[in-house]
Amino acid sequence: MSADDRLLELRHLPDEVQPPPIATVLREGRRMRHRRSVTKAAGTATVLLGLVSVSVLLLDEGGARTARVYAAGPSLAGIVPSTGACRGLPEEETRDDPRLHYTLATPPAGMRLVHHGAGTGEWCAPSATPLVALDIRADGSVRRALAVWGPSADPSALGDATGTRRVRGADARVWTVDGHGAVAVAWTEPDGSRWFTSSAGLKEEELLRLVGALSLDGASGTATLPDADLAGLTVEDSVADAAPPRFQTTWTLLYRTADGPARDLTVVVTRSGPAFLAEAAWPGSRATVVGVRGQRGLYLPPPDEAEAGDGMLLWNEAGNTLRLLAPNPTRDPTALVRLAEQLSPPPVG
Amino acid sequence: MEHGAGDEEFIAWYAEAAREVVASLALLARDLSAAEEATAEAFIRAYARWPQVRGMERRNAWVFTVALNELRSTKRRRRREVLAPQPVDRAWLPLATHDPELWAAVADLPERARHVVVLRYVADLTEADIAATLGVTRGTVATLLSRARRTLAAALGEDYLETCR
Repeated sequence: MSADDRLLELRHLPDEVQPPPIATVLREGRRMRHRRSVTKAAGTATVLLGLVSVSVLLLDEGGARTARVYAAGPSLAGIVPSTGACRGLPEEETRDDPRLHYTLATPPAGMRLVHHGAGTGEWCAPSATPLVALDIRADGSVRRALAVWGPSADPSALGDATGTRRVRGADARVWTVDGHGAVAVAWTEPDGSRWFTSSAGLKEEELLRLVGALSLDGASGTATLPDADLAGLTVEDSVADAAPPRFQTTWTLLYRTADGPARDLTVVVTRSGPAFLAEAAWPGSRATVVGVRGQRGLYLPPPDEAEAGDGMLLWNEAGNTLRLLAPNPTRDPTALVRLAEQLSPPPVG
Repeated sequence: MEHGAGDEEFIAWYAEAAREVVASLALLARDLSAAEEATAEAFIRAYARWPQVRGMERRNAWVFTVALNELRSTKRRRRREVLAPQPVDRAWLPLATHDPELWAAVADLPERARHVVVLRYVADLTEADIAATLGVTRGTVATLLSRARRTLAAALGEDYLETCR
């Protein structure tokens, strides 16, 4: 055997060396294309619109999965930078945790399961969201939403602010999107803690008024709004003590028709449960509060501009936050809820 | 989601090349998860620019270059020294079923030698592609490969040394 012959043994790649799934690459590549096209299309104001689109387009899933599943990013990941709170857990602790491996009791009509697999990844959350306030219509759709991120939130990844306003005795950066008004405000408190708000359905003056009315404690990380200032919003008590998400496991089920395209069904399990209701507080999210598996959940429809029609359903269960991503061309939350009802973790032996 | 008509070529390329990129980066970085991350990012960028990338003469070299850059960024983000000489923690090593001693010896090679060996034999790049990826001449690649083989021979023992003579 020559030296080269032996070196050619390096061509026999170990089995555990697997590329990230092609679906992830295609999905993120499409998002990147979209971001680039949006950024090219217009100026500073459009930068933030791009941000908004990204936050929604993150629902876009698709493509065939290969043998291993890479972590899918939930809607805020990559948009707002980490505060350093992110700490990855050993992959083997989550990837091989059978309690996270959900299955569908009945496959989608005409399809069969061709692949399932788990993946893990760090999710660097922007910060905790100590306050989420929603204005929910009778049908569950969210009319207005406010989320407060902090006390160490750094919104620099939002791009350049579209303006500056004086609020809480400080110069606050404001991001405004045509058709949506002000959607984010960032400022630093006198104690040095950094905060920002995201919102949906609020006019700029309304958002700034709410920001001005906040009671914030940078040391304890608490944020409160006096009842008198809520103006129809209801504070979601359930999120007050939620720690920012730090790690997630992605569990993917790939179904395929006999002769048709592949369809992804992705369950993202996030530990250290995030206050997922905060995801209603991004313009364009068009969230609807729904009941899922006996819990309060949030439905986020596919974006109008998405290339694919995946919707997302979020809810808390057994100490985790679950995100179900699945094709949802009808934009009907009940379709995803029905799918979620069929999920069951395999028995833990 | 359905694949677009133009995706098939990209998917085929990915199926052919991505696993080699992961394995190569894992050997270079001594970190499998960072390798997976960098590989994903490189191919995501390739797909986002697919109309340009598909026409590249050396698209494999291009994606390796992007992946290597991403790997360095990832490692910097993690506040670790990338590719720095340091004791190798073999816990990162894939469980090579073929010649695990060889994999370990390659992992122990100095940085530049490790690069050329990995790109040549794991990634299966041509010497020209390696030169393009690393920004050196083909002559430099040949020299580095030759030295690396000698280093491996010394590390792997007399029998292996014999094969290099």
